[in-house]
Amino acid sequence: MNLSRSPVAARAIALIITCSGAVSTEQGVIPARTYSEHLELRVKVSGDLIVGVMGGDPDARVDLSNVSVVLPKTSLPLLCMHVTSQDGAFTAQSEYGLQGVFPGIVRLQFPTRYSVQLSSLRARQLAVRAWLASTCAKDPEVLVVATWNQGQPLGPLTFLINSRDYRTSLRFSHPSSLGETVCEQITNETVTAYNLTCTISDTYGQISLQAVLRRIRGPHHLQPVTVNVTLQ
Amino acid sequence: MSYVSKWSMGRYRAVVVTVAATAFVVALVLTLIPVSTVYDVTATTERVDFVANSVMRTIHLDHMQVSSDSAQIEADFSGAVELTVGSKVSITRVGLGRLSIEVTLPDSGSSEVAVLRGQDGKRLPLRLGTYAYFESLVHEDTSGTGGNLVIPISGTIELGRELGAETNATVPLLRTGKVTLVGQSLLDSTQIFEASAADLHLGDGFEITAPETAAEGVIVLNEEPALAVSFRCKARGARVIRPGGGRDRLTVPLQTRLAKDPLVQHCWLAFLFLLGVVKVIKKPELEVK
Repeated sequence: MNLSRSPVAARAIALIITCSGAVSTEQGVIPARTYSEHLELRVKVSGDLIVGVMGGDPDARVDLSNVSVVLPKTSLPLLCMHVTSQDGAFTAQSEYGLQGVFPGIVRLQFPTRYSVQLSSLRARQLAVRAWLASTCAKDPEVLVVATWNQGQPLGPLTFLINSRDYRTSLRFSHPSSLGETVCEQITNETVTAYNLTCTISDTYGQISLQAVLRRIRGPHHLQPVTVNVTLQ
Repeated sequence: MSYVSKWSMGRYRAVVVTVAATAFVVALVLTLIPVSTVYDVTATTERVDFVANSVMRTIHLDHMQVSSDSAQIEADFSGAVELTVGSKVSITRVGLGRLSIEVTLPDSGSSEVAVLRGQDGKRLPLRLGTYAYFESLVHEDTSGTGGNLVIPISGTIELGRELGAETNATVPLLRTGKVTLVGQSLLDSTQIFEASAADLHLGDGFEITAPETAAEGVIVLNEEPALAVSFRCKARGARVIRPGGGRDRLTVPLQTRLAKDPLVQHCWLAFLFLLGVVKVIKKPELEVK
């Protein structure tokens, strides 16, 4: 009788061996105590890892009346947007319906009551994370690029990242090329919401980009995080 | 009183008024300009950062695993690590956990992050680009062994780190500490006075903002959790970074300088004395016989 082709028979024999106390050395030593383990598929954190994906000059002052996103062709009904200041003092969430909105650079209304306080910030100090979804309660799967200065060229892509105690880099690939950038620490400023900028200097007119955030501390690697960004 | 003597009195008064005004300006300037201060810091912290300088750039380590970005370089290294000047060194020990040291070059000007010098005398340059990582293979719990691990540090030192919206469950924190500010008189550096003191609390960060000399100190690992740190630095300013991003400046307060700096006190006393003399010397009235 071939045991490998008869799972029922194999299980029956294994049960008999286990119940009789016999230990097969080929299968290894059975744990003496109750075996327990825990796999956290989704680690709960207090802050977001990717706080913003932005185009345009990161050092230009924000123009609150000109926040815009690069909207691709999509069948999804909603554009979700989170805005976070670098010092963590300001956060905003908003949803935009996309019915009747054409692809391209789309200007969004940002009806903040704190324009006086926010208008002195640089673009990199006010992170925008925007994504397309059927419901904004879900985590982002595909991010779109946002900018505070519509009309200016999108230029380099800046990822604003909240990753401390780890050497963090961003590997990116689009259909024609591959690259890696080491994220830089933001110094001499309050970094409550995010502390790193990772810049992709040129996207070569590609339609989309896949970025993989890698966090390493010596031999310890955190699980890479993959981000898909649409560029056109 | 003759016209001539009154004229002399007037001239003396003018001279005294000029000297008093000068004394006032000098006293004001001496009071307001930032004074050199020695920051005497002791703390228990789980993270210390410093930039290696040419004075102290050798660390002696025992049983460390050495790796670069992702590759292991040495499985069990004991010996000295000679750091490249300008390297940023981050030393971490959370609780009674393992000691880890991260070394990063600020730019790619040098191809060596560090040189390992083993106990056998062999030199191994780490040509890793910009990054090296050392982690202790054993828990550095020295209780019962009668030993400790001492790491001398020199350069620009920071304690703890800014606590933000964390994405990890384990965060290396400053636990507790004290900063004593010792003021130094501007013209006579031998005249020192204890200016003030500040406590460092759980989650704070501490950094010197305007150093005049390199900080000199020591990190000690012993039977206690985390790292015991002590260092001194002459500077014109320092700040405590509170959890959530608040920043408190630590300088010698104005009232303390008035109360304790002998030079400032003498200048103000001289001014007050001259002011009194001006009051005593009456303003002459011109009389014509």
